Amino acid sequence: MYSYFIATLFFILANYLASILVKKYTFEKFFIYVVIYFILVNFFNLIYLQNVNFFTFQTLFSVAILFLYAGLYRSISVKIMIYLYLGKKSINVNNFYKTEFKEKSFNKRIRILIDNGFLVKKNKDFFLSPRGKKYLAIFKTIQSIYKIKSSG
Amino acid sequence: MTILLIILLSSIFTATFITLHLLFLHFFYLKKTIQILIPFILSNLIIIYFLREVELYKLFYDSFIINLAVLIIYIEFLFLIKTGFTLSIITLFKKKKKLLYKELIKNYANGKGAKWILTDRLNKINRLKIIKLNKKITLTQLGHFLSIILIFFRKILSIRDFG
Repeated sequence: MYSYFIATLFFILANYLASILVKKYTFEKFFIYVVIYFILVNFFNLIYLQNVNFFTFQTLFSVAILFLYAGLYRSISVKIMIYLYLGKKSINVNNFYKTEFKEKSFNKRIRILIDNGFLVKKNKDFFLSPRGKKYLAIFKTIQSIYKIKSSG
Repeated sequence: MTILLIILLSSIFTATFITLHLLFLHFFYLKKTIQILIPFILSNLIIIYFLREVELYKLFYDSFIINLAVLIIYIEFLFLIKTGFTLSIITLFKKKKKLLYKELIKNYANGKGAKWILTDRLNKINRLKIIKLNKKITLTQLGHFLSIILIFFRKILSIRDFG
């Protein structure tokens, strides 16, 4: 039982350190951290503990924590709730759209897509890069398999 | 060796589960949650049925926890392709090769527009009685309580920014 508690505590502490030491600790970096943690903790388990239940717990824990992190980091609903709790008691929908959503969410995603080489901006026009086109073809196939007509 | 056998069992489960889910998706018109839950239960039952007379039966309980993890990953994947914000921006280029910034905003989510995603999420949390939504947005008591929990988890996971 102690091993479960120690492993979880280690996960939280190491993640805290990583968030301080790594510049711009994004979801992608957290994902890499979880993968490294999962490999190391199971390597330790395989050599010292040899506990199958510990392995299954770590698998479920890692997946659940990724799911939780993705929601807390990216969800628009979470952003609205925390903004209202920490900032203003009430806010106009249009103001929130202009100041918080359009600038800090929508434009930020566009910037991320440009930085990651999916989108190209020439003058005022946006294009898909060859990498973006490749991903679009993959998304189209997956969306047709899952009968998704529109996303958003 | 035991861990490898568990992984093998869960791999068989994953293949069966995804196949059944796709079959349900294309041939039955059911609610989305049921379309996922029935294949999940059926795939587990199929595994139990084939393992009942083999030694591997003992490993099913461990395999089931991995299967739950697979279910979480699968649901997350489905959420991503359905409601993924960034992915939706890329899919805007299905019809047009070049778009202006204004067109990106206007055509987002199949022409619903970028504001739609905000009003959609606001309506969803309004239905759950987390916020009160008139012209202004305000948190309800439930919203306050949930916000505290969310902030607590964000602190534990050292999340400082929004993506």
